[in-house]
Order: sequence, then structure tokens, then C-alpha cells
Amino acid sequence: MLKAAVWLFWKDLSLELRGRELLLPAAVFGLIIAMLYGFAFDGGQQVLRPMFPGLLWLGIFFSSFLAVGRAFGVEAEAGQQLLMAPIDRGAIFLAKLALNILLTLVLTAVLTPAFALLLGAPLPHATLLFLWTLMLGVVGFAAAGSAMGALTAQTRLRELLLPAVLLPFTSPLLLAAVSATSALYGKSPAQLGSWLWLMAVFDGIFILVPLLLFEYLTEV
Amino acid sequence: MRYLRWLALPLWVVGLYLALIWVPDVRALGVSYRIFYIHLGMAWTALLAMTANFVLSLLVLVRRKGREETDRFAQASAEAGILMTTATLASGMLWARVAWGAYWTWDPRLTTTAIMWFLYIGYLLLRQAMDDDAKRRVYSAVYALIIFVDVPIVYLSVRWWRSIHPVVFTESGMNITPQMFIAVIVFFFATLVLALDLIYLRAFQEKVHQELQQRRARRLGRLGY
Repeated sequence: MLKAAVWLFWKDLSLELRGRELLLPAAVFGLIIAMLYGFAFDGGQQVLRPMFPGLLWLGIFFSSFLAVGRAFGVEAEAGQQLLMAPIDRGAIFLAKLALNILLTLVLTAVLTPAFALLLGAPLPHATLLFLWTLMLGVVGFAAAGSAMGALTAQTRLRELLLPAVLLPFTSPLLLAAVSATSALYGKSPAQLGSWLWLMAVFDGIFILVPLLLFEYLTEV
Repeated sequence: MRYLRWLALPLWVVGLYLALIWVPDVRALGVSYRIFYIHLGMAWTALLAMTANFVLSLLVLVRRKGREETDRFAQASAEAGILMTTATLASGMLWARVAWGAYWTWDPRLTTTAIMWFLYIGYLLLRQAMDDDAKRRVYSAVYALIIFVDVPIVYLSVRWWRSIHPVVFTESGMNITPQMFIAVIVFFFATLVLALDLIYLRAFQEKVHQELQQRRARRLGRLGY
């Protein structure tokens, strides 16, 4: 199962490296969001700076969303050849998950400094903890996005349905990520540990549960 | 099961009588609190219906026998659950307007209920958007299991989030008198029986619908389409 997953991951990665069809539009979209924040919350950086954790995570979630949503979409458009291949459905999920994690991590690495720059917020001093927070949030979103992406890829309304199911689903993750980031800026820092735990639990559960359940998807 | 609806009606009449007339006013809250009986019964029933949806979805995956039937009941209980959740939210918001002064607050239960509502609306949307019957059964069952796991996490996160902020509205300590308890229980059963009745009705409707579709397909096939 792992071998198949690695090969699939490699296939998607080389596709992405050649075409850059996911990362580039998603990153541009993220930057546009940062610009739009400036317009929507008129009042300059004094207004935006206190809201930075929330604005940053919304930006990351929305732009990651574009990348994550496409991962299974390409397979559905290719006519489900991959789904006919004699490999474990879990392997497909793992490969897509790895791709989604990689893509969203790269996106976050691009967007976080850009958001800090445009919204005029300094990054938190606890760099390692901040990176850990970013990673936990992004991995959780990628995991949930891979699961929901796989389930909605077979439907007629793929692009429309995914936000409707993924965004409420990841709301605890958003809440935890924003609260943890706020804690790094000194807003109730005692809570930081619990938020990081919550994100870790979310990540673990929604990597494992789909992996177990995807066996059943092979039947149909 | 067909006689359920004849039980639902008198239960509702008795429940309404108990909740609106028989139970005395609570001094601090006045008459507005009486919506609480309807609210609580529906909230419990909604949670039970979602749990039923979870169990039935699990059965769809692990048991091949009678999968179509189980799936119809899973869908029907999600629908009944959404209906009850909607009613819970609506009655809660009306009461909140009177008691707290605002229709919406970010109270953990309120917020979790709203997120749950969205997640199960997603379940119905997912079902609706899948053309293949066999696929719809399995995919929506997997989705149902995943979101059921998510709901407690949502609740936990919102509770922690709220505990950071100053608590503006505390739960008004309603002491349940025996009289109130009776009204709560009767109303709970009234909504539960109504939900069961709706679930059976919807599952039956779906069955008829699917049979009709099959017959139509067969007939069109015979005509050479």
C-alpha cells in the first residue's frame, strides 16, 4: 500500500511541478485576499493588526481550499482511470493527503510572510511554536480536505459542494488555529497548549478515520 | 408502525397543554420560558436522530444484507434530525431574543448546533448530487461517520473558545420541579414519536420512489430507449 502511495504521490508531484496548476492560482488567490482585507476593513494597519491571526488563517484556509479541492478533481476529470487501478483505495488517499499537505505547506510558507507584510503585523517571537501551530493547522485542513475531496469528487456539483461540507467541518480547526496564534501574541497564552492538543487530535483522527473507511469505497 | 401517527397527535395535544397551561410560570423568566419544553424535546430528538443516522450508516457499511433499506432509513433519520435541529435553533433563538436580548450568541451549544446543522445539510446535498445509487449509499455513509466524529470536537473547541472570553450570559439556573419534569418528558416523547413517524414515512416514500424509477427504467428499456 505504501509503495503504491509513494508512486501516486510522485505522479501528482511531477504533474504539479510541470504544470503548476494548483499552487500558482492558489497563491495568487491568497495574495488577492490579503489585498481585499485592506479594502474591506478600511482603516489601515492599526485596524488590521489585532485581527491578524484570524485574517491569516482565513487566507490560508481559503487559498488552501482551492488547491485541496483540485487534488481529487483531476482524477474525476481524467475519467476515473485511477479508481479502476488494482490498488488499495487507502493508498490513493495517502498519496493525495501527502500532496495536499505539501501544497498547503508551501502555500502557507508563501502567504504568512506576505500577510504579515501587507497587514503590518510582526510575526510572533516564539518562532518554533508558531511554525508548529502553522503545521498542525495546515495538516488538519489538508487531511479533512482530502477526505471531503474524495467524497465529493464523484458528485455532479464537485466545486460547489466541497466548500459547503469542508468549511463547517474544519471550523474547530480554524477556531483552534486562530486561538493558538492569538495566544502566541500574548492573548491568554495559558490556553496555547490545549489548542495545540486539539489541533493534533483533529489531525490524528481525520487522517486515521478516512484511511480506515476508504476501504469501503473500493466496493462501489 | 403505521399507527405511530395516531399516537403522535394526542401526545402533542397533551404535551402542549402541559407546557403552556398546566405548568406554572417561572418567576424570573415569565411566560417566555414555556418555549423551553418544545425546545428541549426537539433538541433531544434531534441528537437521537443524528445518532440513529450514525448507527444506520455504520450498518450500511458493514452489513450487505438489506443495505438499500438501511440506507433509506439513514437518510430519513438525517432528514428528521435536520428538521428537529432547525426547530431547536428557531425556538432557541426566539427565546434568546426575549431572555438574553439577542437572537444569536456564541454560546457553545448554540454554535455547535448550528455547525451540526450545516454538516447534515451537507449530507443531504452530497446524497442529492450523486447519481449512482450504490455509490450514494456507501459515500454518504462514510461521510455520515466522519461528520459524527467531528461534532464532539466542534463542541469542545467552542467551549474552550468561550471560556477565554468573558461569559456574558450564564445559564439561568432553572430548577426543575416535578411538574416541569413531567411536561419535559411528555413533550420529549411527543417529538420523538413524531420524528419516528416522519422517518418511517420518508423511508417508505423513498422506497416507492426508487421502485417507480426502476419500473420506469425497465419500461423505457422495453420500448427501446
